[in-house]
Amino acid sequence: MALSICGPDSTRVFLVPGLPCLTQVNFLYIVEVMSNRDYLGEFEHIVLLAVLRLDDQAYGVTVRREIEVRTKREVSIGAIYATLDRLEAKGYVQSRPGDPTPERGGRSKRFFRVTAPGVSAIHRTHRAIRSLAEGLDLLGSRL
Amino acid sequence: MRRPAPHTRPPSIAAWLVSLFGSADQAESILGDLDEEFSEIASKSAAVSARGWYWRQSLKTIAQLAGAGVRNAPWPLAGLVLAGFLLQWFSTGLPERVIVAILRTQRPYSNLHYDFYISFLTYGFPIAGDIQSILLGCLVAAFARQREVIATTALSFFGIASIGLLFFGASGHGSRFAYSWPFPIMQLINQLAIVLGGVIVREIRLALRKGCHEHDFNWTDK
Repeated sequence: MALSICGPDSTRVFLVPGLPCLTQVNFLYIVEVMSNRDYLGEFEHIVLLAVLRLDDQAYGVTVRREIEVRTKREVSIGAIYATLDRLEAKGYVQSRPGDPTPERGGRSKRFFRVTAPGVSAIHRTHRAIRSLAEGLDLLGSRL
Repeated sequence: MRRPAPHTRPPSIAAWLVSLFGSADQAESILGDLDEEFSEIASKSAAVSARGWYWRQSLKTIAQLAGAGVRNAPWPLAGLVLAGFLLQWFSTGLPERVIVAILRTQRPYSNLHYDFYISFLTYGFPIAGDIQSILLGCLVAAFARQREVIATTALSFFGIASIGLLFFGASGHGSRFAYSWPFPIMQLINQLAIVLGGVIVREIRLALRKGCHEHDFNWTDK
């Protein structure tokens, strides 16, 4: 698997020791193919996995907590909803309203679930990351 | 059900600000989530820290909602802001001309109402400018469905930036305009009045929506 990128004069501009170099044309081709397939962004990926883990209990509060507990990363409710709305527009999640509760000031929850295209997007992104990381000595390399 | 003490209730201003920036459905679920977490935090720790948490979350949420609002429809929003800015530019001085025209018909300077004439000129111009800005904000917000406050805030920032450029550009050239401090302050108030116009339209739409829902609920109840 080639992961180093070569400049026009075959000088290596991005070098991973022990791997053959990848020409700029090939690299641009891969980027083009990846952009057409609509891969998930990092946070979209995290949110989708959290919703998947929570199954039918996924709503703003639980998704936020799941991400904070698992990634040790503080996120705002707004960031969760902005991402979930974007994922819903792409057809990767579906939402349904829950019942209003007193501790929520009489407001209803909005439950989310991952759709089949959402699961495919997760698999696609995992495959791409796995394939890019394959053969890399991440601890020993300069990355 | 007993109503909680005011200090254990979420800050209403923060909640109101969040409700201005998202869609009505978004605001409903976000505010519900914030309230739920707030009551949990307030039950475990001091009310002050719970309110602080609520404010921090609200401000971050507003920034996220505003960013998402711009990203989801950048070109219509940019067009609306540009149209609003041009409208503001071309209607500059219109309130002053209207006031002068009214005063000319009444001829107050030629009779005993001279003091009224002077105070009308002194306070009438800035007040008319603010009313004009509120109307402009209402107009822009009317075309920005669900993004009323985002559109008017963007227009206001655009206006403030152009005033800043004009003012500091003039002060760099030693213009007398640079020393007329009331001018930028009045302009700043005008820009805030544009956002106020957006808030008014947003609140009217939310009230109408709420009214429609209640009407639907009553209808299905019967």
